[in-house]
Amino acid sequence: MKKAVNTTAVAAVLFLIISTVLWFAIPYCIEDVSAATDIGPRAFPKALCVAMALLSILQLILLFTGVQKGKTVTIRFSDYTRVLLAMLLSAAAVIAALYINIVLAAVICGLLFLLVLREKDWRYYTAVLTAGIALYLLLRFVMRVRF
Amino acid sequence: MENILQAIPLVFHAKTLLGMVAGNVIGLIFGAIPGFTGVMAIAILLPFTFALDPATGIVMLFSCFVGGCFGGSISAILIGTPGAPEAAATVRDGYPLALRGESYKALSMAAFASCIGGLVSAVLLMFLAPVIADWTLHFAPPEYFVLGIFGISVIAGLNSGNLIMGIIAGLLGILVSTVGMDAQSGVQRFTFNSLRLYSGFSLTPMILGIFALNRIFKGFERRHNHNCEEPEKKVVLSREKLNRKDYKDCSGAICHGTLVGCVIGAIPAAGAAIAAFISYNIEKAVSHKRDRLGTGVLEGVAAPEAANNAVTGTSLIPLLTLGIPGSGGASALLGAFMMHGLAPGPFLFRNNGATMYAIMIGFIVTNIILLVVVKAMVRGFIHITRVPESALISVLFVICMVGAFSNNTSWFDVMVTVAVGVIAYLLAQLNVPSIPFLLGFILGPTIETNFRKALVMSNNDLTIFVTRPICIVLMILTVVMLAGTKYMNRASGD
Repeated sequence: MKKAVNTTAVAAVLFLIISTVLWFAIPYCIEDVSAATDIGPRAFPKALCVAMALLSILQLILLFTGVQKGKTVTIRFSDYTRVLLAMLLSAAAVIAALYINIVLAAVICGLLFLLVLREKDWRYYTAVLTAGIALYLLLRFVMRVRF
Repeated sequence: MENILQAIPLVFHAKTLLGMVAGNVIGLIFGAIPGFTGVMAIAILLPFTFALDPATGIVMLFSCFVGGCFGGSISAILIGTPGAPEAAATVRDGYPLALRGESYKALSMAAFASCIGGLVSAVLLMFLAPVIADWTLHFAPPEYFVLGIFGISVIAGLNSGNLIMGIIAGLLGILVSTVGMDAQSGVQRFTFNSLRLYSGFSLTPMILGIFALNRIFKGFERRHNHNCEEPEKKVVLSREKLNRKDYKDCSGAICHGTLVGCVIGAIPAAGAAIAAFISYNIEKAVSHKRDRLGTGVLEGVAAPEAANNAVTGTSLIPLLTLGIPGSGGASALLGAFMMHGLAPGPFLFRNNGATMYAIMIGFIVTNIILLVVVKAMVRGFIHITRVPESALISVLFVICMVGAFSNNTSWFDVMVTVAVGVIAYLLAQLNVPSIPFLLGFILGPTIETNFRKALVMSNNDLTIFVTRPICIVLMILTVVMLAGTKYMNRASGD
């Protein structure tokens, strides 16, 4: 499936949503402390949200009025299936690291990456394994990291 | 002088020298692989430098920075594909030289010119940085706030990216930096009562996610799209060497390139690619071989190479004195300084004189080591440019994950690295630059603290930011820099 997307417009809308959500979330996420001189812990994040929202709106106005064209790209979703798979494998490696050694989890994920990329040369699988072993030895015996 | 004397043993310690060689080699490898950069090498190497003392660790990262800057030229000359944007100008004459059977000559001249450019730039850094740092002692909170805004705005205007999107990314970075305990009031912000968020996000996962994991995910996309450019013709490394006439012919080009690189480097956000192209264009105008430039002339290699490495030293002047990095590489190095407990700014040289001079002398030495390393290992680098991307990204993923964990031995940091990598990749797809985000994250606490202090100073009167002379100068500079960067980007693109 192919689709032409104006990435600038999408990014502007995304940032507008993020800034609006955060603006409304601030009273629930930051306790209000009133001080005679200081502006308090809420004011600065709020100012940032306002600035982000205003700039996003300005960007959208520039796009709608035709002053700026923005960047349009044709996205073929099938092009990103491997990227999505890589992201899911990375997330799985993070979760696996809770139960097994982080080096082992990363090496398994690295080997799966090679499989996803249909790499047939065994030397590259050996390279991933060697990197894992070398890093384990470096961390364990040189940097004295406790796993 | 006393600081310099204390610094010399630190620099010439076996561990530091070994770190310089290792940093150079790693930088060269990353720089030589098309699509990978020296900045990525710094990001990946960063967590492993914590085991070293600050001087050794940072000198190693500086070596990586220098090596990465030169590494791009190896693939530019040998396969006609610049390993990094700053080597794009080198392709014009480097690749034709290689096709003519003079690849070793071209690489040797590139290494020599880079060494001279880097050396001059490093010496300038050593003498100018402490002087400028002393001058910044006049800065008060309002100036620091405006300076932070200046840094983010200038970085946001980098390349031909959308300025508004760059600024929004910078603001988002500042917003993310507010997570954790507020330094002034002690109130928790956006922590959702999670103990892990009480001290905010660490810098290492941010740097690794933005510079390394983001690129790893891109590798999957690229492989699937078959976008990797195949070299037109494989070049074999020749054996002939440079003679005295070659050095004499190129001396003018090296001088012009070094001068241009040193000046451009000191301007935040201008960058090595711009310096290389400007230097090449100057050579086109003044060289007595200008009619033959582009057909394989050594001067066409020497000028951009001297310029792009001459940027490395002077680009660190705003970083070390004002805490404002002028490029992606400098942003990663700023992170390294902070994580090693050296906060760039006016007090950096006062409080850590010996360490800072060790770093700067190390920077000079590493430029000489670069020349030796390139001469010794250049034949090996040819093979690196031919390793498939799939193998590289798989190995890098392992290094990246282990590096993220080793910083604080924290599983949470590994999780943040992957999350930041995914977000940085998605933002890149939307053409939103990640470097302003990182800079916003790094400078966020400084900007907020100084903003609030300035308001306390002025009884909440916002005009304090537009009535002080240095603030006004910085604001004018911001506008001039943005306009200048846009102009230079356009000029280098032509």
